[in-house]
Amino acid sequence: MHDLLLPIVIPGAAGLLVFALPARLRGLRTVIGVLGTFATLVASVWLIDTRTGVSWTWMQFGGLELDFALRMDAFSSWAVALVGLLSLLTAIYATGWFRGRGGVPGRYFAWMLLATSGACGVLLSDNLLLLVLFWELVTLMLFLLAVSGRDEGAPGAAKAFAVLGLGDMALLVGVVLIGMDRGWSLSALAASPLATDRALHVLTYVLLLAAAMAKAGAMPLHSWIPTMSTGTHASVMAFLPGAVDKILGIYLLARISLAWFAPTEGLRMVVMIIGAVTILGAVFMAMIQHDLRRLLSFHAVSQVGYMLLGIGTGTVIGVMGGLFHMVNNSIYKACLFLGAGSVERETGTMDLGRLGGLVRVMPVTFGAMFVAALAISGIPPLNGFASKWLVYEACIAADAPLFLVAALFGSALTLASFVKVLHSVFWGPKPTAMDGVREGAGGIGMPMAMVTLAALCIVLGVFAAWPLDDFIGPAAGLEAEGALTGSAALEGNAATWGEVGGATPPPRRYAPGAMQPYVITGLLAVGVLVLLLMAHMGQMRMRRVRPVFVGGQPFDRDVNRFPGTEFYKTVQDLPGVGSALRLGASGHLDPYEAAQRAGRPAVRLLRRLHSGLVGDYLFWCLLGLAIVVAVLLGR
Amino acid sequence: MTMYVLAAVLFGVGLYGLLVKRHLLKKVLGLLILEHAVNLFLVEVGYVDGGSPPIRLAGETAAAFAGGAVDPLPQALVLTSIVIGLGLAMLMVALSLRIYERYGSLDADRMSELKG
Repeated sequence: MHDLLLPIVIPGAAGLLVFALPARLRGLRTVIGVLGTFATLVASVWLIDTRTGVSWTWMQFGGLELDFALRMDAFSSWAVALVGLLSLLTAIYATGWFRGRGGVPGRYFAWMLLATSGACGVLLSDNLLLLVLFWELVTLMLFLLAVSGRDEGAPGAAKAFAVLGLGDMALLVGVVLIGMDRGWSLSALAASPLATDRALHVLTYVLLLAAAMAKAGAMPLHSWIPTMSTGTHASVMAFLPGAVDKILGIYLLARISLAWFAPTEGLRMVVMIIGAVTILGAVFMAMIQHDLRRLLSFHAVSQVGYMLLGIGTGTVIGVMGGLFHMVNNSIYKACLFLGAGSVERETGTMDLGRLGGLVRVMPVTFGAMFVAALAISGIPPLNGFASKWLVYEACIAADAPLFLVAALFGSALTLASFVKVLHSVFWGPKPTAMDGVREGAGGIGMPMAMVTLAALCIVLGVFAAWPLDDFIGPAAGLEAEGALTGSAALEGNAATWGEVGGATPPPRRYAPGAMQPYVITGLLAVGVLVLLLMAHMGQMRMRRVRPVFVGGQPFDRDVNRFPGTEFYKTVQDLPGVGSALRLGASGHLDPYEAAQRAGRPAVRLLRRLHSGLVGDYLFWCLLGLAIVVAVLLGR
Repeated sequence: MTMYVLAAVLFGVGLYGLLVKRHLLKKVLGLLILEHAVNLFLVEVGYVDGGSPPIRLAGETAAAFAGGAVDPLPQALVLTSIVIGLGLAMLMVALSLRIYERYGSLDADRMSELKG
């Protein structure tokens, strides 16, 4: 067996094995689930330096030949490893998440492993039709995971399946349009990209872009993520919509924008505008949410905007920023979803108005979510800052100050929104309803996954030069240009600003900045040390503890609270923004709801035609037969 | 020609019973009439005016037999069809009985669980 098959076959075979095992071997299913994802991670790390391709003729129908063609390049190698890592961590988390709630539902690990296999397949395929098959497999597994063992997940899962199905259809049509023109091999396509000067090629690009946007969850095809989040297991949210779906969507976007097509300036501008709108629109929606899972979902949408913006610039630095942000987002977003899941598991509620004061009882969850919240808000020296920094620089290099403002403003609003989250969930007085809450009932798996992800947030931020030099840079096309390195981009080296493929750098109108993570980390560490020292020596009494005086009344921690749900209500009164938010909240901007409304007359007509009477059905059959006969006779 | 018209009229009667009548047994009868209309039509197609039964007598040449006898193929087909029709009738009546046990009625319009 060829090496490249390993990341697809290992989880696929493990998934089928779990599927075939009888229901009473539940423990064995879980063991195979975790070991299968672990083996996938090991195989993908072992393969990370492989650069090869392989092809077998798989099926032949008439003139259509389906090659089972795989290849691994500078991009897919680390993307596969990232998928393996995320599936391992969410599998470990799932063992704790389901403990004491009837155990892991029947085929959960089978679907999860097959989704991993499908995601690796998308990243490795070198054939357009094969890519579509694996892509569909991930969509289907997302649906099955969302409904496994949880009935309230069904409406969200149906919506996700409908929206993703629309995207998949666009992908299929786009792929067939490419394939009829240029054949099915991706390597051949990348060797001579399609120029977007013909209407047909522009249409193809837009179709594939829509597929990538639906998968990654960019506006306006994002609406399935928030709806799905409220009824689905936290481990599923962290695994697919939070991380792997983003990787797949952005993978496709990067491929179509950089390798398969040569998009014109106008098309790139469209991608950048979608990115900027997504950043701002979704972060505003996130600010007014009361449900922690919905809030996190809107942030998951908002962060996709940065990736679109970075890749849309088409410069090396922008592409690096977009791809690095994809990596970072999958890590901190998975951590946030898992942390929210821990809170939900222990408290039973996700309503920000009812949570509070959990920092002392859930310190590990708080620590992990705190780091991840700072990372998503772009606080140096965490990983979210490093990638956002590259996106900012790309906006400057592309001479697009409006996009820079959108990106910076979105980042600030993200921080504001996470202040609300941290305050509502962890700080403030603890309501009496939260008194019995304690951490760790789910065993070691849940904190292990969260702490690993939070540690990765710090490592990828402080040592950002390492992934940029070794993985992201080569994927963004730096390899071809020789002397340049990824860390040069981090330090604002203008030479990295050229277009992908080595065009001349654009004129500079703004001074480049430099990100020096070691200096920032060092200063922060010194500051923390000094603070600890001062507190320890007792030189600075930082606080006094006195009983609270409330006009002679006893202090009631259920009444005298300031839940974060009130924080940004005034956003809804802003002219323009407020009405847009109300439109968004009522579902008028959601294509799924709009399609439902538009399709209602047709549904009503069909319902009337379904009389349930056998005579009527027979009549329709005969009418159809008569039409067929008439058409055949008329020829 | 009249015989063809008869087959068509019988077919129409059967179709009418099948589509319009509400009583299940009337639907069954309609279907049986329709079926026999088709059988009649098939036999008529193979009929030769003034022809003999398709039985080859001893000493008859093949050419003389083919010139005088009616077409045996539709007849064989229709024989099979009649037997199948009998089985079909039994099945339909048995299902009607089951439906009567389930719904307490043979009115087809009361069985509209597919509605909506």
